[in-house]
Amino acid sequence: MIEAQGLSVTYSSKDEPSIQNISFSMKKGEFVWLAGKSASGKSTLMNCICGFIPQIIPAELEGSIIFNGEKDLDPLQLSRHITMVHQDPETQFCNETVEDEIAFGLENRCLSRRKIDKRIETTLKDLNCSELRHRELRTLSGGEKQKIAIASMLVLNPKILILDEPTSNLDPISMKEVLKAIENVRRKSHDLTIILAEHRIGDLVEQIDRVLKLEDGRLTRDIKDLQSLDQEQKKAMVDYSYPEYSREIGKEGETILRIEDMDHTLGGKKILKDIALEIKEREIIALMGRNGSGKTTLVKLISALSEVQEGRIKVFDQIMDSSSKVKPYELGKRIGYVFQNPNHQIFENTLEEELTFAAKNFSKGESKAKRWLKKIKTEEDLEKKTHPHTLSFGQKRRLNIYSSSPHDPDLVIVDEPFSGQDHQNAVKIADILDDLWKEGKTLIIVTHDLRFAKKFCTRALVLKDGSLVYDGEPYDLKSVSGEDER
Amino acid sequence: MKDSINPVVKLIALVLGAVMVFLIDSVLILISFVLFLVVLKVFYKVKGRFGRGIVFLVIAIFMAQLIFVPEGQVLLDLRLFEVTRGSVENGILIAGRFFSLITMSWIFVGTTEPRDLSSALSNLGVPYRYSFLLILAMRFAPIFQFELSNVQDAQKIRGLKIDKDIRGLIRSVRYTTTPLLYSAMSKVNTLASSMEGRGFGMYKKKTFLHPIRFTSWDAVLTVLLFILCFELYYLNQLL
Repeated sequence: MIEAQGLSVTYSSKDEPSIQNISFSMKKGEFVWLAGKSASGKSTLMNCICGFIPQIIPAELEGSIIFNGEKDLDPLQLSRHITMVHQDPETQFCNETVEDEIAFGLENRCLSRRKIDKRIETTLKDLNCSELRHRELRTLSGGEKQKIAIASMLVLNPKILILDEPTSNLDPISMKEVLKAIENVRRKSHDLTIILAEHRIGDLVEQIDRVLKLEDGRLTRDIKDLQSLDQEQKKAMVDYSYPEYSREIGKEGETILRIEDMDHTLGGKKILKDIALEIKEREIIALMGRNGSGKTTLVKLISALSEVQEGRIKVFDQIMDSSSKVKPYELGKRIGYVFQNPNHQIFENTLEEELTFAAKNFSKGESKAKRWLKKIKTEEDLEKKTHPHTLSFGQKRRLNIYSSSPHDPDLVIVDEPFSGQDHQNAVKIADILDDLWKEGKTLIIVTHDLRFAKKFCTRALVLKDGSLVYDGEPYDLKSVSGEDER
Repeated sequence: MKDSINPVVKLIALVLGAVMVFLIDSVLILISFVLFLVVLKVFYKVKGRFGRGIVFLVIAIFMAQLIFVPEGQVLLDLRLFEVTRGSVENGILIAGRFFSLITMSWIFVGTTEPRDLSSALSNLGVPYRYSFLLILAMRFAPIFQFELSNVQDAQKIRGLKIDKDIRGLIRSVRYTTTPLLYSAMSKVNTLASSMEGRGFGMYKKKTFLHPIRFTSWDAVLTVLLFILCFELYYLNQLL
């Protein structure tokens, strides 16, 4: 049905090709898992299959994509047969309501209103989310948004459905919902070819027919009959674990953070309810909960990036309540904060400047920043003049953590460091965080990764609909939060 | 609150209103117009209150006229400056125009679905490739606002202090535009792929699931709007 012949792609911003000499062919109805680490070339390959490279995303392309015997079709021609769901549904949506978003492709194809209406109804029913039809997209949860993104592609009756890490930004429950939806699609439509790029596919491994593995832009493995493998072999393909980290602290340290009776409302909705907790120095907190449960709001309040409305926060010697405000850069001397989106926190044009940015602003820690620069240069094979925005997603994330803390803050808050990262990158991030902890810092890590929480953290806090529903040892967590290990 | 008026008629009303507030130089008519807009905003239950920024700007514009443009009969001597009849009238007119423009735009945005405006414009012959830009603008405005706020937060927590002078402004622009630009670039590619991947631009025309047609009632309403504007202008000349 589809064939790639000697595909190589080089982006203008890079010297090396992102994918090299890739050839394969796929049959009708195959369910293919496109495996590989971050930056191994998966997204590039998928963008080639859809014809987006080089038509929409400029790059030098060699080789060909042949669909049903036709060579080098443009994206509009290919859109009749191939559709792609992107990693972040927010960026993919171009309408405001669920109905409009799903109708979009059908409207462009000039179908009649009656047919559009019928197709929307059927697709939503197939994905078990008919009740979402008249909702506004901004009111949906992460998992619901991703299901609508899938629906907006499936409604076009494609022959090939490509899914680019559809669960990477989701909490475990939403992730399960989306994987279940993909499983349903697979069961209902055996003629549909599905290409799924995902780091953690869980039980979906049972449905997969074939694995294509990319490494450094090359196709290194092509396992054509995955179902012939036994359970152990399949489990080994999807299993992952973190190394053991030694944790010899108790909770006898000094209290550095105390939150009392805190409520917080945003846009008329109560985001946090009656939060009360204490954190002692050198604790490693896993702050967990579903998307939208209030985790980011809580850490923003702790670091004075949002104003306290009700209740009181005492962090180090600073008190914040409805009448006393603290300036974030005052707290920034003692709190390092790593935001979710790597691009939002890279300000400088070279690696060296980026690493010393906070040190220069706080007049503290330039020598440490330079030490880290040396380490990064060696470990990542980079130059000090390298532009930080040319780094891979994983490298950017690691840079974010380093550049948040050269001035030795006592508390480091990291918001979803593993989102969109493969396991190897996740372990590298965990190692950096471990180094920070060994330096004597307290850590608050917002995460969905329960295995990480159990191996790495000394305490877990779980938020549900804005309330703190669990505060205790991470290994007891499963029964409390209802979240499963990924 | 949304209504059943054709969005194109509302757009015409907005443009006519914007022209009229600059043509009107009668304080009485302008105050009446401002009051009418406030009633309209309340009637349509348009979300949001007049924020501190807008109130501050309206007062600042009024005060600037009061202090720096003294004309005509002195009403009050405040030693530092004299309050004259002309400066009060000018202050009301200019601050009123600013306030009217803001309120009219607010009512328009608050009562119009971008989708409906896009559909209505396409119905009048505007190519949907252009009218759809309105939907995209509305869709991405809050996302970029959220991103801007994140970038500024990241600057603050990493100790960036921006002085309130030209150098500070340049630094602020430099450290804000780079991360926003990179973030936007990655979004643009995904959005373009998502749209083209669903056949956007495949044909010259497209179906609208919720079409908005320009009816005879809309035509009558448009004519009435023009008549009202002429009457208002005539009244303004009389006063």
